[in-house]
Amino acid sequence: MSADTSAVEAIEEVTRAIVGRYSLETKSDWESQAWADFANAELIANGGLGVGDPDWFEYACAVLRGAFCEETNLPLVEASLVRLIFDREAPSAAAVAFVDPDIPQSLTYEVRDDGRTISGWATGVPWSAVMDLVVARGSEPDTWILVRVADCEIDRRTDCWGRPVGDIRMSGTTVQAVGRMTEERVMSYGRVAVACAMSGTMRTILAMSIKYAKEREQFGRPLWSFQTIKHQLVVASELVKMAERTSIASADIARTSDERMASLLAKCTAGSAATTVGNIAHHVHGAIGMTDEYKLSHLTRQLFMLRDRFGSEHECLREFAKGLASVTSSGTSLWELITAL
Amino acid sequence: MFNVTEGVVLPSAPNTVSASGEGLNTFKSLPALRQQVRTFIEEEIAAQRIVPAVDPIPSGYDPSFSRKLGQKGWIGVTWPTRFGGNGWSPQARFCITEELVAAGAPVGAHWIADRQFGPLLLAVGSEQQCEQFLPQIARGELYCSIGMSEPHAGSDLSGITTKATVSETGWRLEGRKIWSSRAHVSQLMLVLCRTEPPQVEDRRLGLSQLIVDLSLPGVTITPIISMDGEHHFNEVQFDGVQLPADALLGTRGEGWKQSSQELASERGGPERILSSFPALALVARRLLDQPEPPAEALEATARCVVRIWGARLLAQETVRRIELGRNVSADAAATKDLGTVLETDIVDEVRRILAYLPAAERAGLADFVNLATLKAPAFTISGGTTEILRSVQARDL
Repeated sequence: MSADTSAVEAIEEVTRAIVGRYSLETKSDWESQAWADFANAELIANGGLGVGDPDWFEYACAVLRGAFCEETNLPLVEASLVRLIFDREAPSAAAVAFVDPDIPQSLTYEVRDDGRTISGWATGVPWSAVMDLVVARGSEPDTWILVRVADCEIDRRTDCWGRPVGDIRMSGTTVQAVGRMTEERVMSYGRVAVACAMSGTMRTILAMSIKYAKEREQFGRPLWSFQTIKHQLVVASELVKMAERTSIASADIARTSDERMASLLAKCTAGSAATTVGNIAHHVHGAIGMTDEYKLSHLTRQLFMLRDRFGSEHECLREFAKGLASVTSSGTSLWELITAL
Repeated sequence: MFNVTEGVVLPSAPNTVSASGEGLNTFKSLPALRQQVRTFIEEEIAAQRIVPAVDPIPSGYDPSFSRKLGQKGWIGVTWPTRFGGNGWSPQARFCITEELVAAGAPVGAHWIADRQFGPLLLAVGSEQQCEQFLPQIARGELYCSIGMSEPHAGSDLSGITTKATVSETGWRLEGRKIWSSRAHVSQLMLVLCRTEPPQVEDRRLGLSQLIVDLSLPGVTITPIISMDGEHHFNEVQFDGVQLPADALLGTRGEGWKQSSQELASERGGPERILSSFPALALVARRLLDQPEPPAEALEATARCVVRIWGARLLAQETVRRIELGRNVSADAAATKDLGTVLETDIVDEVRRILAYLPAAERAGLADFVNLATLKAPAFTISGGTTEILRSVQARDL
């Protein structure tokens, strides 16, 4: 395990306390209360996800590895990007949803003497209905804007991943802040942040699957005593180790030679690990793992949701392959590329 | 104040990052060494002094190349200077190993002595044994093979029956080892043998390791030819071989523990990821030189790169943990399992890429790739099968 395991475990402990507090209560408005709890635990601002310096992104990634050990169901990944884009312009620990570039949207901007406004729509924006602010792409290249949710009309629904999503309409809505960062850079940091969150979720899925295999008896003995079950869980553990190690390494994205290629690698690795780890965990658990009352189903739903965020592993592989052709067209060998990443 | 943090010490952000030592910086801090090794290999290939091969550890035997590496200080790099080493970091050794194996350089002559025998001598050997063997190994002149498997004890290593009994001069060795790579061109063999009768409760007790001079009377080496037509395997018979008392390496009866340590060195390195890389590098170069490389073939190449990247990071982590003095048996087993399944899959991806190349290109590459396909089944066997590696890891879960 890495040297910062104890830090991640401390964050996991805080997360379990927060998430556990709401799981038995009514779901009404729990998201904003949980967000406030994460903020109070200083996991969002002041050294948590509210990063303004690329060096701090590495720490934000450690927070995400810890905070996604449970069904967290909050836009913490998105929060890690907000400070990066807006620096000090965004309020500290702001509860922010994010209009991904690939979300269906039609947004137009107007610059007036008294500031900028935005009009149009975006559908299915995750967590927008329960957060205070929304980030979307700006009208000029490489710009991003921040608006208040209270200034928009939002229809709330729940998507298949269990997230509260909003269909947003804006009409001359005032832009609160403008940030500057290329879309590719936001996507690169987003991929790394998601890969870290996924490794956190996979860690819990693996631990609960091993525990279950050691407790559950069939044919008069624990599942763990069957070599085929044990070896399946070892395969899952290898993939969790690899996803963890690659996400830790890619969190050092600011110092990689190629942010985009490094982030695509991280997301490909986490994504393909998630498919196998999820399948093995469910196979070991049998039918109970598929039920809503059992925690595994919630974690799998979160893992598979994250798997598609900022590009699935299949999209990332396609992009990485194109990048490979481009990098090596100048005569760079495959080995030179691998050792430079 | 929010109460869930009571009793939990939250880390201070910047210190945690700097103290963690994470990322790849320690491995990236050696570009000069990496480049020196790379340039040297390129020059050797260009001058046709060496020929790249897939799986160069058993397949590439070239004592003159080993001696050149020794002269450059690239064998025994982490060993103390008084024993002929350089006292460099394990990361430096990692870089040298990667460059040699990825290029398919002929490292088979000295490899086992450098990777397994030397580190074990340093860990459990006597000062006299270290002085006797390590400088010769570091010069690329002394080669060692491994005597573990027997006809009836492959994966079930604790079932070995080769035995050593105490004699007037030291030890008398009787038994037979099999699938011993390069025993016919090595001066020494490190033999795992029984020095006490097997215990019913634990057969792993009562084993010891002996350093055997393969030129001694009573040693008979018979070649075993592999599926790819090569001769690196051997059967080695010991008929009452008389050994001196100081042939014992480490502690009598601790052979299993010492072998496990040795196997971790064998399993955790980058060579368990890159055996088939020379084939990928060759075929991918031809692909990438095409005016419009097909997307399917590019994606096959990309799949390999993604997995190599991940496996390298795990191997680097294992090296870091070895440096910290941790028990890395499970980590090394994970690295070898992921790495050798990957090496095998790479051969198939290479065949896939080949299918997208023009016929004339395919014909020129066929021999190299076909040879790789005949070596591939061994990747997940040597040094511990997939099943053994998974059982080793399961004990830690």
